Amino acid sequence: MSNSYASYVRRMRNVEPTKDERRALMMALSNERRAVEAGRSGRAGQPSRAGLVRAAVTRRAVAAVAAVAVVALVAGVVGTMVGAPGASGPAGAVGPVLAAYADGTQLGDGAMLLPANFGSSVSWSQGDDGSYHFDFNVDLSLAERRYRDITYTVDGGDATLKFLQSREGVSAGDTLADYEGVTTFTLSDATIAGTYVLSVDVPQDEIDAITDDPLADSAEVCALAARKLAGTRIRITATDSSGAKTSLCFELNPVDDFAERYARIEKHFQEDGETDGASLFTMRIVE
Amino acid sequence: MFTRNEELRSEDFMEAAVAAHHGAVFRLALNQTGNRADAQDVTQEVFIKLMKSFTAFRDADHLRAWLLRVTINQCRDLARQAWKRRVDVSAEPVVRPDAAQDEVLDAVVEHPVWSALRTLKETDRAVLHLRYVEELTIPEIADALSCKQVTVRTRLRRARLKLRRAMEDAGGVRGGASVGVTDGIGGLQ
Repeated sequence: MSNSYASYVRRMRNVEPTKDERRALMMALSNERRAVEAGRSGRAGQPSRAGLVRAAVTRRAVAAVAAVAVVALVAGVVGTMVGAPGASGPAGAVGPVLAAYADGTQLGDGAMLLPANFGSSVSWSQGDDGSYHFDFNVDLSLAERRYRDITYTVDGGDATLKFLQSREGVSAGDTLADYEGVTTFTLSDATIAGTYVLSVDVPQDEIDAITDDPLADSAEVCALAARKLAGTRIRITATDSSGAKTSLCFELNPVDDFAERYARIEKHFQEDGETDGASLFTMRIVE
Repeated sequence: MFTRNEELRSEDFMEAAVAAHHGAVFRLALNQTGNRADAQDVTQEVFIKLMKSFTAFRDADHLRAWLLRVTINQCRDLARQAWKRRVDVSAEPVVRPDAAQDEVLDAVVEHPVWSALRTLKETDRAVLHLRYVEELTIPEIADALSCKQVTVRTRLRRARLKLRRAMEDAGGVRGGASVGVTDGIGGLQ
């Protein structure tokens, strides 16, 4: 080692967390332990959770949750704006039509180009086994609020669903509709607001094949994950206000130039804090 | 010692793990994120993951490798999420270091090698840090970075070369002095 690097190493080894930082860490662990144990016991004053609970305890985690909450809020507003009760849903389809589909732009091949916010918020992480896990925030709320007993099911493919009910308006003792890593779940009615996520895993060797720096090439990496979602079919079965049970199946596909569009969105967001309105997915009704 | 029977790891286990590895996790997080506040966040998240994990650790070395691997992943997650974290609802104040630690950290940040390291990729910084600051062996680094030993050796060579060039560009290394290319530490080529 050069003398310069050796002196740097000596200085770096002197860096230690302070007593306050150690105390703060132990307190955070203690708080997390209490939160988890309280969640298990379902004690009074704590909302019980139907699915997996992930407590947000760090400043960063809190911020990330807030970002998701914004997405959920937007989804809720979209759901409120589109669609009025009627015999047939938007775009002429009969049954529980997705708000994103109803809000899309008709393409020549009969598919809908979905609104820009559909799937544009992607988070991903690498697991202990090296594989990558991707979460695409997608708005799967219905265009019409007259439905109840809405069952979402992924037909085939490797994607799984996540739904986290919005905490707004939830009272102590309420049961929250939270699901994670499932291929089907049911909401009691269409007014339940929340965050929908489509998740998919990508083996490490597939990521390694396209880049040795996934962080720098995040657009390519996300495009690879999006291609894993190609052809994913989401079946929605619901009961309308007259008691009739209907079903529609939607097939999802990423746009051909997903990587380029995603890179533009990311760049635009970093510069201005806004997305640039580029759509990333198309959808068609297949049954 | 490092086994798990409960749904959450015991307080005794966590206290022992924090006492033994808090420093290494924090330094690696600092190396990767470049600032103390993010390093605090990453460190906290890593130990919370440990408390909830189901991994049965063979020994302390296995635990350390696990912690360092999770730290690397957590730092990557933090960087990936950066563009989404523009919604700022900061809830907890950053724990301020004391004056003595301020000086220690200043001494690191003001060092020319620190600046040169910031020009390297995270993976290159990580492999140099684990090898020379934490003094991990090649197999231990391979375990921590979830890659093959030959990959670690390649990354080390590449990272040292890049660091040397970065320091030459900054005027920090003159007359053919090198960063580890001929250091022979650990039998590296």
